[in-house]
Amino acid sequence: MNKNDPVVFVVDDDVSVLRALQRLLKSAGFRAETFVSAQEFLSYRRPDAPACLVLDVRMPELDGLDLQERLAAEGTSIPTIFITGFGDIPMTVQAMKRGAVDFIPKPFNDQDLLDAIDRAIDRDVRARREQSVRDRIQTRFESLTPREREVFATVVTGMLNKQIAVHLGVTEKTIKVHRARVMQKMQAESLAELVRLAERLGITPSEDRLEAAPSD
Amino acid sequence: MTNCHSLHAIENVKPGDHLCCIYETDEEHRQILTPFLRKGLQQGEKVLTIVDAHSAETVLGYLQDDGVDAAPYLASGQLVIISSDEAYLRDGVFDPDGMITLLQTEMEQSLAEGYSALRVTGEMTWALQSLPRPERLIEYEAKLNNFFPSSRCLAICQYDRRRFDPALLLGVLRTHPVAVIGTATYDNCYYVPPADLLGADPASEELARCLQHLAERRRMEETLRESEATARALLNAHTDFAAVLDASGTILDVNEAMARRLGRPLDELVGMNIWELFPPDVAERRKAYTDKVFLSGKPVRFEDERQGTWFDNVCYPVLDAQGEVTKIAVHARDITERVQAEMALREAKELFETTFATQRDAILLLNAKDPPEIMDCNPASEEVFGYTREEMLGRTTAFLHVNEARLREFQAHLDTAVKERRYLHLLEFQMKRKDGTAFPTEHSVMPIQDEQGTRSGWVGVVRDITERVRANEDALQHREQLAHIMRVASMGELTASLAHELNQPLTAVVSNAQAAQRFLACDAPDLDEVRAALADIAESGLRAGSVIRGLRAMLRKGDFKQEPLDINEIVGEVVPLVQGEAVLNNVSIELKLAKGLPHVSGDRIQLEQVVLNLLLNGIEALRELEAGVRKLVVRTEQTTPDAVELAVLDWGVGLDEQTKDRIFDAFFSTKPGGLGMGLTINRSIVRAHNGQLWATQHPGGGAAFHVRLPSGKGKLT
Repeated sequence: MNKNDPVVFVVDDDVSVLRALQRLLKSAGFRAETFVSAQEFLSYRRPDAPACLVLDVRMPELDGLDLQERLAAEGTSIPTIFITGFGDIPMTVQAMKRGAVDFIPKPFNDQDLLDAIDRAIDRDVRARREQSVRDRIQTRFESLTPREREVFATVVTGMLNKQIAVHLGVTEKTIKVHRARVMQKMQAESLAELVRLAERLGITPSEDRLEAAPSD
Repeated sequence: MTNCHSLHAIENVKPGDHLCCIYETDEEHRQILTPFLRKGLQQGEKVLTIVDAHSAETVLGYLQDDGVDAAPYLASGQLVIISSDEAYLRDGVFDPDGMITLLQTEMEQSLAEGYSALRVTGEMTWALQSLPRPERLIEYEAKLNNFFPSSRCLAICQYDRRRFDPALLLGVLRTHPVAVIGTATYDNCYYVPPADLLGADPASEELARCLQHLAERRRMEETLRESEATARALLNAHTDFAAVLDASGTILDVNEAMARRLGRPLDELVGMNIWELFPPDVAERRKAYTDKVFLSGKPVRFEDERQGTWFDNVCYPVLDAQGEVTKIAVHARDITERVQAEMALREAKELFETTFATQRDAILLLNAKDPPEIMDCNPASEEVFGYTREEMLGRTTAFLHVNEARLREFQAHLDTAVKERRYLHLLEFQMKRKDGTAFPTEHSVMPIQDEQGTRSGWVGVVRDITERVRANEDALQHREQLAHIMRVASMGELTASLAHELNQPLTAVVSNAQAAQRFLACDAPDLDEVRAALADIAESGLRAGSVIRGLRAMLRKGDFKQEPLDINEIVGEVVPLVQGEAVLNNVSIELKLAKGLPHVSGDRIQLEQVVLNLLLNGIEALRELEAGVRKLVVRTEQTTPDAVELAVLDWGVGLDEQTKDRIFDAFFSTKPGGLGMGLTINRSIVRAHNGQLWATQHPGGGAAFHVRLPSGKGKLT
């Protein structure tokens, strides 16, 4: 196992359950980290690897749902599987609404948990990849100069170069140069791709901007 | 001295006496002569009557009127009536010496005839014929005084005052030691002994005698005054009340104590009517008694109460010379104290007898023998033991005890109690009825001592407490039932938590087993993990088992069983039952259990119930609070050498003053929908274990419930 292998975090106040889950995860080839309370998990420095969280709902002091809230407030989102010895319905609904991967009552069949863990880890892998792509795009965008960003913003509206030139108050030739640089920095092969990237970045061209006088 | 004899003095005349009788009426004559003659005849004396003015028939008539038949006496010669001619004037001449000789002769003859004495009486009217000179008569009378004293002869000389010369009568007075004047008899102070009267110088003798008499008289008066003063002082000195009353109730005399009581000065009272000083009903009541004295002439004694004071009254008749009651002397003593003491004693006696008879407990009175015997027993004893009183008297108490050994045991208790506390108080002990059944009793025994402090016996009170024991057992049973119901209800409330508590170990079992299967499916199975998995499976299985066991124990309906228990173990068995509930409410339970605590004695299930209840209450109290303070701490420690204390502390809102006081009351609950029985039952369970359960506010801000139980001997490590 290397440190980038996916890791399963298990939080349960019952020590024997915790030990059993660790053993089960080990037997299934997962890397597991166990915590006997939510606080203990929150104060742990998590490795940078795909992960999921197997969480007992009802725990003394801080319970599972509280932990979920805390993580959301932190900005982290780890796919979570709830397990519980109680199994009441309102709790289930609440957990699922908050985006849990699954809600499994105890005792459970190992496969049910392992499947859920697989799904959770997959979700996390995808999410991480998504995030990483988004990061890269973001980096590329940040390498654009302000003028280039303007050109980017207007090009994706579908305006012709000479229209953009008029709009921005520069020559068409300048526009062409900027456009080429944008394409290069953003590593887009086509306009369509540029448009997709713009969507990804959440750039929405507005009418106001076209009216406004450009500033160099 | 003026000695007033009554008429009866005549009857007391005896041989040696020489009386004169000076009468003024025939009636007086009769009254004196009749008893004189009668007495002599009745006493077997020879009676010689010399008649003159009165005839023999008259004299016989006196006797007849008095109921004496003279005929036999005359016939026998005991009674002789002769005329003065035959006696004094024999030979026609009065010869004093000759008369005396005659008397002597007659006396000797009478004695020879078997009579005890010679009783003579003569009518002296013959002397009026002036045959003898008055001096001769007086000489005679004087000489008689030499004769009579040593003789067995007695006489009354009759003188008619109407007819005799006063000068002569003076001489008569001088010559008779005893004078009967009218019907009154006097010791004659004017009597002159013959030696002096007939002596050489009678005048100077008489002068001496008169002067002496004056001195004597004065002495008499002084003595009288003194004795009166003494009597008065005596009367006034004592605190009893005294008065002298006449028949109408006039106060003739009264003492100071009485005057004070009546509330008036002494001199004012004398002459008042005593009956006017009392209310009419009181006066009437008392007058009835005093009247009786006047009528009967006998003293009357009575007790009387007025205004809260009791008096012992004696009314004594005061007789005059005629023997009539003219006055009574009243003496009254305040006997309130005695009466009150008597009443108190009577009341106490009645109370004792009533108590003894009506008391439903058996009371046995025993003597001081060793072993003591039953001297008396009350009716209740028969009911309690089944024997009749007759069957119990005179026996020792052995037959009332279950057996020899128990009897000795009882004796030991009694001896110790008497030595330490002087009596045996409410010992619960089994006794045996006549039909052989043993029954529980409450037994008190107290020794009785006489005034000197020696033991004179014992009092034993035995109460049959069969009913009470049964009632106690019933009450105990009810409490057990109630506690059981509460336990079942608690378990019902915990269903979800208990399910959770079972789910945990089950999860561990299943996950461990499936993990082991996966390991074994590998090419190179990690057998260490498999082994570890199996070990955990076993442990979890057992853990589930103990939860089930705890549950079953709570649901069991058992009788109170006393055994040594480890309080930490009790806590350990209860926590799994509530763990689920705690978790469900986000409450953490922390255990701070001291090591090496001594064991406590009690019923395991009931003590578990108490701890369970306290924990559930704690969880309930913390339910609504924010995270961080939802903590229960269970602490056990040995607070004093003879006690173990368990405390359940929470960090909740705590208890306010009113709640703290009421929290143990039945049906009081701060929980909405709560029954309010839990703490009440807990308290009664703890009490039944000789312990205490109380609540405090602890410094951290929450409530703390404390259970203190006495520890048995011996420690558990």
